[in-house]
Amino acid sequence: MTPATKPLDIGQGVGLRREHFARVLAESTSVDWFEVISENFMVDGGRPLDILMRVRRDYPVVMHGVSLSIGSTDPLDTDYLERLRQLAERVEPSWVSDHLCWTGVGGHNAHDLLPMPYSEEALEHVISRVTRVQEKLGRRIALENPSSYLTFAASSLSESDFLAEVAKRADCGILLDVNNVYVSSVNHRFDPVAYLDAIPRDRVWQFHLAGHSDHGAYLLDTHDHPVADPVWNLYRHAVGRFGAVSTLVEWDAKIPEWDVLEAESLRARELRDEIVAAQPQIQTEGAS
Amino acid sequence: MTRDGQGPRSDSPDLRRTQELFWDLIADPQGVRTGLAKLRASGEMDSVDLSFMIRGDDRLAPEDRLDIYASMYFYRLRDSLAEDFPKVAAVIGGAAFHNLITDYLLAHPSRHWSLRHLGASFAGFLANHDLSRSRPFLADLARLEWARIEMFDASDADVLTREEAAVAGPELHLALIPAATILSIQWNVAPIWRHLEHETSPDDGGGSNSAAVTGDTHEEFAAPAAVERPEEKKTPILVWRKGFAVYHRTLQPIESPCLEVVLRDGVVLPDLCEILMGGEKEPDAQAAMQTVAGLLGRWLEDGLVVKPGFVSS
Repeated sequence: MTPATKPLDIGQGVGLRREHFARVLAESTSVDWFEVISENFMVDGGRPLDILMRVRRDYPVVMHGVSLSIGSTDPLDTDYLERLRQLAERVEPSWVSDHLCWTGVGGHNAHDLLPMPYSEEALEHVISRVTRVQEKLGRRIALENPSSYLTFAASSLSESDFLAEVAKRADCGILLDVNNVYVSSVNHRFDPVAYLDAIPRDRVWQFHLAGHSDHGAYLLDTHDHPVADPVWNLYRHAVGRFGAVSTLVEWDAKIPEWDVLEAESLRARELRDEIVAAQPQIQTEGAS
Repeated sequence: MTRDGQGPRSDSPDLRRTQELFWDLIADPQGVRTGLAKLRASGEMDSVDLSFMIRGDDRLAPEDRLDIYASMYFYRLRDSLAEDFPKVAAVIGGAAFHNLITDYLLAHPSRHWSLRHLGASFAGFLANHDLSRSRPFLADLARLEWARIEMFDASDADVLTREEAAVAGPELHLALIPAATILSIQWNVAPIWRHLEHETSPDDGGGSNSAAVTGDTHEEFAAPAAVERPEEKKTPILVWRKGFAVYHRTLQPIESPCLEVVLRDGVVLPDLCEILMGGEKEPDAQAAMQTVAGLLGRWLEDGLVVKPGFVSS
């Protein structure tokens, strides 16, 4: 497999959700691309798959998974990987991503993005599995930093250092979720700017932006609100550091009308364009 | 050393053991602390708290932090099953459904990478659940709801048109599309399903499967819907997808055996006439042929017959 190269910036995207299927197919939109939850389309047939292929005719599509379970100590699920490979072959996505997490153990599946201890043992484990997944899929993948609500006593590395090391040694990309960095920084009291600055520039393929909820003692990554102001501020720093990287607004619960989502996406585009225009050198910077 | 200045604890379990303990504790329906007490009582662990594995702080103890994941685990799966079985949930009400799912997940935790399959054992589980004593039709209602989900994303197929059937003549080989199935249920739940349909929104399966949940656990449960007990009557129900819409209808006595054999084996039209005459449902060949022609017309109209030679991709 050829070494990972940072994909081209494909602009501003949003998640393709069933609430907006009809709108997206009926008229043109201002978004440049769509992200889909891979598992929703890893089915035999029916409407969602048909809609995905129709959308794909008009837009680039990124496949974003939630079930890879790259950090689990269970064996890799070969059935899952084969279905994922088949879908990717059919959709020809701009890239495929999933999360730095595990979703189950002992054959059970929690269907949640469960946190990893950031230990040397876990690091070697994840690197080995990313390497095997990429071989199986015949393509590089990008891993997303999750929001988390606990840290492990076994951790010897920060999350950003762990993620950077996985990307470097497994030769994969990073999907940098700016909201998740912010949520975890509040939950675990770390500096979110220092987190971004620890991520190598050439590994970041995509940004995520999303809303979260304040539960008092912690923030919860709910994807059911507009992007919060501190996350927009962190996004400014991210664009300043990483340049014009493809950006996606996630909104998965209490999904608003299409116009509201589109406006949120446009806000990200304007902010990004403004920062890139003010710092033209960031577009051409190489690896950190 | 991590950025927060805390070094790793040497007595932390390895990755495998960490994940096993994590799973055992978030899957306990009574919460992390109760789960921890059970593990201690069974001798699986001797620690009084989780500080050997999870860091706490002045805001949240390690057990409170893990409880966030325990809540998300249960509510995400419960909400997914509520989307899959909205009519069962409506009949028994939100509180009973909540408790039912607690029981179900203990017996049938998810073992598939897709949430889509979580409800596969639900109807069978419900048939043996206490709730079925007072409402013995619940399992059949669940079977109908699950069959509709199964047909929603079953394989696509090219459907035979009336014109193509006419050209093919009597030797036309009849086989049903993959997105068609026949349920044999003991209680005629179709009227309940119809009655509740305007109160629950259909699932079109293209929604979010994301990691996000709202975390809103302070909810008011819906009261049970007022429904009449259905008739106890063995009822064959056809469930199928036409285009992208899923339908079901009760089969008439004369149609059921014919469609079952088409579904199972595939047949040519004269075979169906023999079935009707053999079952003494029709007195002679002419009457049987007329009946078969009528049935075929309906099946073609419903988009049930696959085009001969079609191979699913």
